[in-house]
Amino acid sequence: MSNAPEGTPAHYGNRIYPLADAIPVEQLDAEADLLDALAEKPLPIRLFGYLKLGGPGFMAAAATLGAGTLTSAMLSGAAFGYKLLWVTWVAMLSGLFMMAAMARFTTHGGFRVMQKQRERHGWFMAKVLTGAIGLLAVAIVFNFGQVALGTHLIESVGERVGLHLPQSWNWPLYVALTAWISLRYGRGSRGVVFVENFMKGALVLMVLCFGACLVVVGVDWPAALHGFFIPWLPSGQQGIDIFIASSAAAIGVVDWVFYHYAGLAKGWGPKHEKLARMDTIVGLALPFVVVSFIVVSVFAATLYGKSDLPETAAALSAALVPLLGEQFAAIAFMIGFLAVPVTTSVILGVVSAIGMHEIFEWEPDVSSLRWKLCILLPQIGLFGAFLPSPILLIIVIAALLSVTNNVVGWSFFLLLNDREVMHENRSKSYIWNLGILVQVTLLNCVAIIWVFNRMELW
Amino acid sequence: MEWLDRPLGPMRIRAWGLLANMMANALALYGLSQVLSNQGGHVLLAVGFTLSVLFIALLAVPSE
Repeated sequence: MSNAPEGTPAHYGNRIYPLADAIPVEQLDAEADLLDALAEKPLPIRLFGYLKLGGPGFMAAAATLGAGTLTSAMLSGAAFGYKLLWVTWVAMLSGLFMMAAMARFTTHGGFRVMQKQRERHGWFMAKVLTGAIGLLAVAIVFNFGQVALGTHLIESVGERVGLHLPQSWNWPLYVALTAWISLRYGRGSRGVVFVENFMKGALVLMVLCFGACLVVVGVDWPAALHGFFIPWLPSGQQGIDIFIASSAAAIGVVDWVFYHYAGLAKGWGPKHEKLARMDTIVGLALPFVVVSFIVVSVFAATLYGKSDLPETAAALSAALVPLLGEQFAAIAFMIGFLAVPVTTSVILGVVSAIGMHEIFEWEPDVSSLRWKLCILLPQIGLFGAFLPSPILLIIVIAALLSVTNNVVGWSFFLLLNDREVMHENRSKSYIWNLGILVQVTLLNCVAIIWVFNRMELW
Repeated sequence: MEWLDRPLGPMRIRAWGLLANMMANALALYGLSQVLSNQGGHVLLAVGFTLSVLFIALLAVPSE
């Protein structure tokens, strides 16, 4: 049921998320007028306008480009050179169909998607599979890795500039910075935009810093372009594992659900659908593909062909830094890399708050102690600065995600095609449904392979 | 294709279809694992793959 403020114009009829209440209706009116005006403009002006008005896509990109994704990109470049570059855009392309579904729910649904899941598909689907496993467990458990990497990088940058900042000392700096930014989300009319602009800035920083490293090490353009456009996989089971894991893992439950709620927090309505779709392309897909391309290429140009490759992000970056030669390139790499865990930790804080409030059916109030505590929950990951990552916990959560991501995908596919839920705004496109089903089938394969692995059938 | 959105027991036919698709995916992957380990499995792979394609093609039809 909509609880939009009285007198809210019809095109904000889905303004049902209290975080959007801080945005004055006049501001949303002006944005809707601007979107109407932009529709008449030439493509470059239109794109610039969408870039300025977008935001949730950039935040989803920051969430996706975490320590795990970057480690995969580094390993891919170091182990296979440029050959697996094509996987990045294939993975993103397959995920965009579901993101378009989330954009439709946000702009035309008039509901919060987890509430609608609960109504249509039961509390277990909404609260356990989507909320507890897909959002909350990910936000809390995966932040250990972000803190461990972030504090390691602060220590490394410190060493380069002659400062002694060991991980066991610098964690308060990391925790304070990420918690402060997360807590700004939704506070006042500029709270959402502040965090979005931080993400946009951090993504630009990543591109500039990693790009500088790529300029220093050079890129084999013919090999890179070949790897980007011509699919190749290692032979046998390894190739199938890499393809299925990489293509299905780029975008998952966190990205789907967070994007939806971030759009609701901006007060998006039907007039914002084109903006929302462009936001997933310009804000999410483009930064993901560009950053992945650069990171894979840097490692392909430096570590490819070397034996005894390290397997963790920290060890891989430590192996890379001496090969960069120039001091500025080494520092640029570490600063760009630092932006990765920082942005992800910020988003995980917000994801935790959104997830907790939806699971327990609490009304979000960013000024409440409850919201703040929920935001701070993933900061328990500060122990990642002292202790080894909780490997067992991470394996358990990753396993649960492997076998539940696909089922949550089914739920969203069914909602998009549900006449009683979406009415005239349900999917009427065969291609759109097909795209979602391909991603869902890849997620099915991840779940099946996980089970087969346990049964020693794979 | 209106029947896709009719209820059948606790779920609609489209939801049963998603479940059936996953079973077909499992069949195809089991066949593939057999093929990769040179233990046959070509028929299972072919049947699983064909069924997966059919289910996906069918389930993608939008509701009328």
